[in-house]
Amino acid sequence: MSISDLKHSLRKLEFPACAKEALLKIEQLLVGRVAPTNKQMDAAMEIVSEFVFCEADRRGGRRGGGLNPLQELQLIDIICDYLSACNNETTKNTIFLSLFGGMENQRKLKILCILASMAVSASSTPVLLAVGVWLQQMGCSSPQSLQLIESIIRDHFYLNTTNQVALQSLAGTAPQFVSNFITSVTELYMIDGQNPIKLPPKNLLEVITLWVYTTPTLCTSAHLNAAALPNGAIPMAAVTPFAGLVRWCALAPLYIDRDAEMVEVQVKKIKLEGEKSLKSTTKAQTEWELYMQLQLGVLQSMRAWRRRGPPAALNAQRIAALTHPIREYTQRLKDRGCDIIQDDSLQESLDRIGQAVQVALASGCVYGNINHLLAALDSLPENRLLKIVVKAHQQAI
Amino acid sequence: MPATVNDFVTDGDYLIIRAKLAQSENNIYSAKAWMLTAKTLFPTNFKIQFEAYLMEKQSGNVQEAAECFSSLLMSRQNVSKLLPEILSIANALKSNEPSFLSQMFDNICPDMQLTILKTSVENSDDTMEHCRLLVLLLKKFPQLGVDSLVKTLINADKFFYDNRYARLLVVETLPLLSSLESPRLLQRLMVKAIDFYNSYMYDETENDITDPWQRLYGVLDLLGRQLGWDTYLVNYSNSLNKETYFQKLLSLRGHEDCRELLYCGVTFFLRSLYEQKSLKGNHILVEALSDPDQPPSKRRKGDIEVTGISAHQFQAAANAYELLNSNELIAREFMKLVSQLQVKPWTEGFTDEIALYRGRYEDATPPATLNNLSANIIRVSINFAQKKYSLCIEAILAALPQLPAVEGILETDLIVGGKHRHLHFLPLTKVAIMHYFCTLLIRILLSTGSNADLTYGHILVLMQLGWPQEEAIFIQILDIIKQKGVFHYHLFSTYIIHIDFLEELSFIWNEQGKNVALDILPNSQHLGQRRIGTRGADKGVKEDFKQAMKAQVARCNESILNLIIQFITTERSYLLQVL
Repeated sequence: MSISDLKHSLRKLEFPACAKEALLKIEQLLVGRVAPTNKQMDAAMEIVSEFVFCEADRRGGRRGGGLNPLQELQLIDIICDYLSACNNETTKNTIFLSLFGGMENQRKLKILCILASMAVSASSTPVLLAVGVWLQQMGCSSPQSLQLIESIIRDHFYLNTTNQVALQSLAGTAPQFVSNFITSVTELYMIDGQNPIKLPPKNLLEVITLWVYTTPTLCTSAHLNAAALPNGAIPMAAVTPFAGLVRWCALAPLYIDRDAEMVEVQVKKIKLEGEKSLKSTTKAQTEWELYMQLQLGVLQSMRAWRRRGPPAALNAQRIAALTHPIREYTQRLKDRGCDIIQDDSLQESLDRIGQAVQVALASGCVYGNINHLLAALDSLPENRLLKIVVKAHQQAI
Repeated sequence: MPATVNDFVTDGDYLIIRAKLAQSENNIYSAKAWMLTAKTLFPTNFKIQFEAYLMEKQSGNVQEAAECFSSLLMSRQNVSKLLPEILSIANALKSNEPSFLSQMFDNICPDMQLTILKTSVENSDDTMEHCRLLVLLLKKFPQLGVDSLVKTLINADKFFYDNRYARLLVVETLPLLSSLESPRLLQRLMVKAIDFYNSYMYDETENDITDPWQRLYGVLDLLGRQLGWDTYLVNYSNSLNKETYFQKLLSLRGHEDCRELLYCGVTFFLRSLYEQKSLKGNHILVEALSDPDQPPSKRRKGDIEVTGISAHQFQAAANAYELLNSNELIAREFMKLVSQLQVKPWTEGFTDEIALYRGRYEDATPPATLNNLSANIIRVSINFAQKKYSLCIEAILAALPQLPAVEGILETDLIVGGKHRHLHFLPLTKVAIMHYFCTLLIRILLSTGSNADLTYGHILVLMQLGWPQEEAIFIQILDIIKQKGVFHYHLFSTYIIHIDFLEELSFIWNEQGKNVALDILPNSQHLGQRRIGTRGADKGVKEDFKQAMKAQVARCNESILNLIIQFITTERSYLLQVL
């Protein structure tokens, strides 16, 4: 069937039937033993544009309006059904990336955000795994990825907070997604230059801590399990959440009062009808305790990485970059005339950096310029563990 | 953390201090993070690695502790430093209670487990301890071979007087054996096993082995496989059918190699004997009666019938015992074997029972010095069988004041159908013993052949207790009275109160009052002269009889048992007189 015949047959269908049929046609065009030709790829893109998202007319021109909100939901339903029924990972990822790959389009991104959020609610593993691959291919810290992540956080950690148990199980069912999700999340909070500094909401911190602590292989799962990509696609290396989590744990003592619960930065919290306030039976952990547990979880995850491959899990540069916020904090201490050695928060922070660097180096996780990292550590305020670590590894080099 | 405090400790110690400090503040995550850091910084530092292990142990983390301990054990030079911990683990394993250390042990890889157990075995000084640990080791790693352990146990000095060794050997070690190169050694083990379980059965303080006989058959099986025995005989469940099993044993008689008969026979014998003894309780074996006019029982096999509790087990034990003494060769081996047993349950009672069973009355008679109830009952039984009736009655009279307080119930099996010999396990209760005595006395009275009214009267008195056991004789006596037309028994009103008897006699008197003269009223001054119911001549007499019967009926709730004891005691001269 020629491409024009193909389009012609699709034009006979109304939305949403045409979208459903279009997904199958795209699959025919793109999935085969050999890589698709440029012509086939272009045709697929045209079909996506005209019949799936309904944003182009038959001549490729822009069509005003696009899908109304109801049609968007119908489309999400169709895509979900298609992805769930697809039993080949490569096919599924190929179609998914062709639908949401080029991401200049806010409309498509909005649909993807709803789709991903629904997949989280429904614990839909096939969709989540596809979203995970998308995150990785787009780059976990790309603006599109961050927008998607923020949308998920808004839906699941601010609007609806009753879903925690289902969220916890995702680490087991869709680890590659969760791993990339965490990597992206760490790009949103405790970032240099934020003023005031943004801290993750406590329930998000709780879920991430639980994920990392109970599943030591989680952080490296996207890294170790290569995504099934279409023929000819360029795989993007997964970035583990290690760097971001180490930063969180190291800087948390500087931003959180050990003895008091931090006042959460409330974005907006809508009280839903009939929502029951969850009362936990066990004594809730403080944020301080959560970061402590997360720190141990990160260290144990690094140990789990041991001998799994060449060091590629943690970029030395990212750790060295921690010296900057530390110095700023130290400077503030000095400005106030405080003793650096006597500041418990600073020492705790330095201890955690020391622990993370030591365990990461010993477990073969670190890549990049290690000498530079050691030099950066050496420039930090005095701390016994840092001294021990620097001494141990300078000898080794 | 103020750095000054720790300026003088080594780097390794500093990390341990930080970890312990966090632990003391109940901050286990921080403590573990410190420990993990320390472990990666000083991977060969024993102190740090051991602290890490202790921390996991204290937190109750089985899996993590197992990992720490395994990594410590990886290095051979650590083993001596770990010795106290290794011995604690071994100790924990010896107990059946699950403990942290035993769970941790289960989480350690088999190679390491072997190292732990071997080290603990090598480092135990006490032989008993050594053997226990060896058993543990062999249970886990049967491929290591048990022979050395068996030899260690058998050669231990204390082996023959310390039962704990025997137990370890028989109960723990033998089941691990699949073969042993030396049949001689295996036979020594067999004897040891027989001795151990036989003693165990009679030891009331120990009861933790649930299936001792089954285990003993396990040992028989081991020996049997080595010596090529019939698999039927070494199978525990086959031994449950005693008849068939004994027939199999019987077929071994005359084999040149008598070991199969010896070990299987002794096991079967001891087990049957144990079962009999535990069932028998307060029963004694006595001669009982058989009646050719009654249908023979279907259960009987052979020419002697034994009834009552434990009879079946007794016969099995007795047959096995006799089989094991059936010829010189097997008898000698049997003697040799039993001389090595610490508990000889057959010496008490069983050999006397066998003597009685086989009719060797001289052997079965208790010594003259013995004058307790059981001895007297056995004398009653044997004298009766030997037809020494005076002695029999004397023994009964001797037993009467010794009767137990427990009432009990009548025995149903005192008389069986047939002409063969019949023995019975009689319970030592008042009613059962008296029932037995009455039954014998009736036979003795009948055996005199006397047709005196006095004899019949006595018989009527005695048969009240076991009624209707002797119904046939009762009818016979009534017939005789009817024929003779007269019955004269002056003890009637004193001793005959059973309602059936009174009814029957009243019936005769009413129906055949014209022909039968019953001289049975009390205070009858003129015996033979003043006959009741003589042709209605004296209406007052008739009225007297009615009144007398009414008086008897009124007594029918009295204890027949006590009445008969009184009868035998009080009327002893009358009883002896009819003989």
